[in-house]
Amino acid sequence: MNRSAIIIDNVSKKFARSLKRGMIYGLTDMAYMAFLPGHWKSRGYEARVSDAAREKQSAVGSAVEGGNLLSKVCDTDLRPSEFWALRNVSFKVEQGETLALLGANGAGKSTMFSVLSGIYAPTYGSVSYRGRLQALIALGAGFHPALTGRENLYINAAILGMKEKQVNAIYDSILDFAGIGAFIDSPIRNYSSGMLVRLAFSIAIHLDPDVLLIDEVLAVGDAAFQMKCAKYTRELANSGKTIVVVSHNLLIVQMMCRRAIWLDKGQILQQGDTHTVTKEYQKFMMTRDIGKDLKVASSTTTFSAAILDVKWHDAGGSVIEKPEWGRPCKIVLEIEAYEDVDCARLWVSISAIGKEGTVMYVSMFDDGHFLSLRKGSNRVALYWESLPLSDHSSYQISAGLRDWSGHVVLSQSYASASFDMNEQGTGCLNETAVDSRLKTANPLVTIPYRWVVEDQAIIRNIHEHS
Amino acid sequence: MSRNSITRYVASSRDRLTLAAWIMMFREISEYRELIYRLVVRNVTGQFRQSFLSYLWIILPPVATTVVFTVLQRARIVNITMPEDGMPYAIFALLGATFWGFFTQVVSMATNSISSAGMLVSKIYFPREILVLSAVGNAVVNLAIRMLVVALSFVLLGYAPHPACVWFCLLLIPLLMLGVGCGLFLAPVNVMMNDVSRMLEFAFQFGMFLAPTVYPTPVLETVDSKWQVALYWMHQLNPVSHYLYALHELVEKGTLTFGAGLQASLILSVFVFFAGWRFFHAVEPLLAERV
Repeated sequence: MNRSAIIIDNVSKKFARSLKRGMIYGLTDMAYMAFLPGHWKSRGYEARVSDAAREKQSAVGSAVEGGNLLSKVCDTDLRPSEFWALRNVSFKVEQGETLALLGANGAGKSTMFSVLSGIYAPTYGSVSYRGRLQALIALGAGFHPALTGRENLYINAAILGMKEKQVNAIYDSILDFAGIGAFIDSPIRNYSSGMLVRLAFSIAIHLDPDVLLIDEVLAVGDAAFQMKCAKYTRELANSGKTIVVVSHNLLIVQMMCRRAIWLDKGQILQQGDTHTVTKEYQKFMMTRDIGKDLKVASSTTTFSAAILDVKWHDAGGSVIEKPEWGRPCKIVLEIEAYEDVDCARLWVSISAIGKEGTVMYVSMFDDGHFLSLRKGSNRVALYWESLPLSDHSSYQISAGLRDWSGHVVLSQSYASASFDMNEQGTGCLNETAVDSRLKTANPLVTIPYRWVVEDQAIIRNIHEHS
Repeated sequence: MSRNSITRYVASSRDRLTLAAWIMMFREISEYRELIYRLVVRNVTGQFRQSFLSYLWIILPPVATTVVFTVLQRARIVNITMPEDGMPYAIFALLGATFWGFFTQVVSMATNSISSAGMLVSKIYFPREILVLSAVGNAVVNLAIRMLVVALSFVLLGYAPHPACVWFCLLLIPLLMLGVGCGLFLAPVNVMMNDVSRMLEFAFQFGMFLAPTVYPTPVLETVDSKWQVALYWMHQLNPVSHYLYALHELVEKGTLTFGAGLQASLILSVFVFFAGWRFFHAVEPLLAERV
């Protein structure tokens, strides 16, 4: 039977924009609370006051029935300079489900997490969850720079609600996962930021939570540690833990979550299966901000770089007309940069002429690489151990450069001359530029490839970059 | 917390001055006692990790005050005459500086505890009283170290206090409650506006001279100006004075007179503590978004 692990019932939360006004509101609220006993309340009072009370609420579901489902907050509840950070948000998360919260900055995702973990009291409505909740926004809470990693470990664990005995039991496992070795006995001010996060993350996940809130923390540490975290999170999800993820990386979201909720200005705009929601979300973001950028970039033609030439090379570096079946080969791109470009991203696609879809689509957006170009000519290659293109078609290579976010086009898309895998190919030239917008390329197979720097340019992985 | 326990944060739930609410408050503190301990250890050991004089910094303030005022008194720059059968002036000043210092440290550390732990408060939930109590724990540790200095100075100055003076430790409890109570009232207000901690710093700095710390309270029978009368009442109305009177009496004579002043101070201390705690608990949900 599915039971809800989290129930958000018509939650609203308001904040003040102005600091001074916030101060005054804070003091007034405080006076109200202190001197009008009707306003006295404790956080989670009902749940905490006694175990008997806990038993009465045997199902979290009762929260909804008893809730104030119909009351909508309105702007008249706001004092000057206040706004709704969350507005009548209701949803449930089933036990064992992995849910994604999407939304632009300031949409209310983090506020939602804070309300769930009990840091902010909701202005209206209620949240409830079952079991122990652990928010991975609280990484390294209470770390003291002058104390050693070991001492901080115990303090952090105590803040997260752990007893010394419990910590002792999992101590080795924490150290093992963090992998910071002998540094554990030196003051944490000597740690690199990555090590600090590893230690903190390691403590957090060893608390064995039933409900886990993840807020972009998977984007920390080096690549190896990230892999470890991603793997761990997947294992948690598989073992029936309930996970809520906030990430701007839609790839991670699609990988991890079945269901997504899209928040905008504190309200739920859309919810449903991840694929649909992320698609809509992406479309929305593109038309809202990026649409303008795209137009500007392509109308003024002040590109930062140009792809001058794309050629097939064999492993030895000599130019060939087409990839040889079963032999290593590479596509070499000559890129002329008009200025130094940091964090560009390159995409290359191979399509079959006269046929639907894309045969091959390789993009730094998907594999997390960045490209740094020096002013002048740069040369980057895409290498395959073997590229078994079927020999019944003519193909064309397209390539393009965008900035790191994908929002700004850095170069006109390049379209190569077509090449024919058939021996008697025509080899006709085709210089039509492809649509400068990203195609929705959904190739069915990806053949292992790797990016190779031939000249000047620098390729980094996304993780090294951050 | 068990797998099936349900935690619920509701905007509308109310708890008044019920017994259940008080039980919950006490139970929470006891549940988190290990955290209090850890935070105290963190604060105490962490504060002097990178200093040569380290723990000397704790005993320096009362010792410096004592030395300065003893010099001033001996040089007759300030005209303080001690009663005939009383303790030496240096001991008097040291006791005053130590215990006044303890009270002010409890209040100011408690007041600053929430706003200085902003990162912690805005990132994770635990009963915020823990922060106040751990700050107070730090002040208690400081007092313990300073009491060693007091004991040492008894030896060095060859003054034998009455053995019954150890009973003053019992009076430290209501004094502590008074300090914590004030801190619990002021800490949330300090989160909203930082003026509070500055105001306190100011008040304590000058309040020291308006309390029986470095000079004894004028005796009402022998006063020769209305200024002395004003000073007398200022001392009388300060609850901390009565603890200091009790301390002086215990050290000199080994007796303790429960006069009206001390009784009122005791009652006030207990009341301030519980009222402050209740106030703190009621406004606690407002703190995280303002730190």
